[in-house]
Amino acid sequence: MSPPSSMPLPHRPDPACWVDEHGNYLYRYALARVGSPEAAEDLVQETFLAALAAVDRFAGRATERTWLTGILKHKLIDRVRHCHREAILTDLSQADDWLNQLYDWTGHWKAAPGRWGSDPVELLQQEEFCQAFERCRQALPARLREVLSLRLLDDVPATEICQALGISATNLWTLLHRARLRLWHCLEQKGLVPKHGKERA
Amino acid sequence: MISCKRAAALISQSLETPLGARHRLGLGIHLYFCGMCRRFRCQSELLQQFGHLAGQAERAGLATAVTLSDTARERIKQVLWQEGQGRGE
Repeated sequence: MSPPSSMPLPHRPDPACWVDEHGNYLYRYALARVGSPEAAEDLVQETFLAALAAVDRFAGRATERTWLTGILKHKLIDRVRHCHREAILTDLSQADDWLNQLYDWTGHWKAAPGRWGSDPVELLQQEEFCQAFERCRQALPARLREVLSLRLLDDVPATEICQALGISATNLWTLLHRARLRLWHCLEQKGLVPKHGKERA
Repeated sequence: MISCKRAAALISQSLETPLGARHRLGLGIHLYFCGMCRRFRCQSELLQQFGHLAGQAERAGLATAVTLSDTARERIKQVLWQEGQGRGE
């Protein structure tokens, strides 16, 4: 390791401690996204290597963990580009037939949306809903799941996703809409919340 | 008037970006008359908020029992150490 610089930095990163201090955290984060332990381990390793290469540019404005998480997010975006870009472009090149089943020929709802609670914090405390959300997210087509997860769960800016995938903002909105509608429909089907009325007779 | 299908797409878009005047007006008129889409809009917004919170909760370390395996930990340390040597540190 290099000797301490004359100007003490408050958050001088110390790569020797990274794996012990942040390894598990980054691994859990990656595992929640990629599902397979091997892929998650690889992502953690790639993240640390990229961080090591960029360690001189660490400005100390963020905490070390936030900085490393940011790098992991970039690795996740890279992964979506490598694994799903082709499927995403194909998806965008055609109309979404799945979506049409929700509407009648005039474009109006076939079945009225059910009645849901209205407090996200409350929902977060309902284990049943959290599990259903996760199952429905996992059930999405991979290309849509990955894009939605980046945007919704990881809060990656839309511009970064568009740039990485080489698509327009309108394209991204289309993908997100397709993903959201499927996720919403899946949760509706789970019947976690009492339906109002009997529209579906 | 725009259809529910179109309204749903605009509702989804509004979660990402402020709608232009024309779209806002079209959606506003539709929502005024359509209770189903008003409900869908609430649910879309709810899912959006829930997703953000779920992402944060996930990062806050739910399921903390999950850890890197010892083998992976050692391997990564090894790789990092070698890389550090290569960089002359």
